[in-house]
Amino acid sequence: MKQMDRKGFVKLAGAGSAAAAAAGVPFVGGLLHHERGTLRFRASGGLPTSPLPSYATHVVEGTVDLEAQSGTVTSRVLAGHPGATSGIGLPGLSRIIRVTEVKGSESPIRLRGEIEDRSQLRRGESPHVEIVVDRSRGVVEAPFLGRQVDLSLA
Amino acid sequence: MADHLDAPGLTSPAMDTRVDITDHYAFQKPGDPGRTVLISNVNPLAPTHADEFRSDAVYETLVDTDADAMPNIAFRYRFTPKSGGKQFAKVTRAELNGQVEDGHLHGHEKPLVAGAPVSFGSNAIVSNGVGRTGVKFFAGFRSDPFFFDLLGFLNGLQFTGSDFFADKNVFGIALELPNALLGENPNIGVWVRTLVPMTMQPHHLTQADQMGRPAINTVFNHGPDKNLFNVTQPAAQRNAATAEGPTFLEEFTSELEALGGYSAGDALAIAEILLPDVLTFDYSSAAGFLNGRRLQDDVIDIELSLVTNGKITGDGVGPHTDYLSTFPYLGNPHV
Repeated sequence: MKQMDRKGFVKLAGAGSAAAAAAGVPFVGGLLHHERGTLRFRASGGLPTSPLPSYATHVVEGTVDLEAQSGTVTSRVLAGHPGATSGIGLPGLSRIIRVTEVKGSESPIRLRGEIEDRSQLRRGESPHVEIVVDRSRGVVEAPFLGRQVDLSLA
Repeated sequence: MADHLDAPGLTSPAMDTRVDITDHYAFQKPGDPGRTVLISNVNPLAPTHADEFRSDAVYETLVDTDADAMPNIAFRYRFTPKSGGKQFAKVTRAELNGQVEDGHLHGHEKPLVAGAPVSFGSNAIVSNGVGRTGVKFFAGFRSDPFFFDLLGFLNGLQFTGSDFFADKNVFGIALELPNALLGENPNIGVWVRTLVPMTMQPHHLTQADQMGRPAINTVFNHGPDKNLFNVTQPAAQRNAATAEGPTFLEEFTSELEALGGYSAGDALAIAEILLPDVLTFDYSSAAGFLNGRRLQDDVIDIELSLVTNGKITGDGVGPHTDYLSTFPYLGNPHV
């Protein structure tokens, strides 16, 4: 997936905010961008979840062509708690998901896809994945070790 | 994740695993009550992120001999730059009067080991100390001895008995020494830290990471408190303020009440044992954790049981089978 630099992000977020303001809709999530049929999002959350102190950060980000119902979502677990996340991925926990189906064009948007590299799968882990991007709640529901977890849109 | 990947320097832009302490151990040499083994491991997931010790860093084991959580003895390990695939270590010992500041070194250092080659391959190269110090030394690439169901922890203590660290490596520093070098009082406190040059003042050192008992920082401290804790000297830990304002002692007490359902009084009593965060060790005893720590000690099971007040008694993972029976005790690296 193409990396976005800070300048690009600010430009994109600004354009998205302006478009949302013009349309009179609240813009939730600085990195959630929904323009010209393309959905871009980034969501994260601490692991483990409260009340335990977070040790790592689960990051899910993606770019999806809503009309073509295709795109890529990555799921990573990075060392460091939210707010001090490192660039060090915990081995065996990164997934690349190829989006194969999109349901809904407004919030929530349900993405279905498959984990491409099945050698990464843990025992009992399904290669079929559902991710829900829910702008109204400001969360993304994504799988982690066999259960759906809520991540905050960045 | 006893202390893996928790150093402040891991966040951007430094991301330097070379000075990230993963674990440390202190135990009586098996079969020889007159000698002690001190082991410090760094560089989690090695060699993925780094394949060397940091040459401008100081790796340090601190020993408190009078139970005030202030250091009286320092063992310091320094390394040459890696060149031609080789790196060499020197070890010194300094006697202190409790002096310790963030990143400053004190005390007159006497050499213990000089020119010891670092092991990068499977064979452990063991060096002897200079003169009649009677020490043995090892530094290099090794199997990570720590064992824990990390994924179960990340999944909210839903343990499955899967050992995340079974195939991981670290860089280990091991020192075997006569007990006399630890002082006359066999009841000591041990902790380790790493120091690196300050970015703007490279002639001054700053503390990168610190560790006493395993997993204390991981389990008790939230958010920015983890980094604060890593640079707070043990003697100051009880009364030092966390980012939110309460002291670490108050935060630890609250955490024990929340996670273990302890009464306020019991939680405070346990918190006062855990702080200062120093590994207490009677070198005249061969017992393991909470007396020092041996490679095979299941510290996580003990701490899980303590923190949850017996609700969770273990993660279902046991010691590795690759520990060596002789110095440096750390298993051969996984390749």
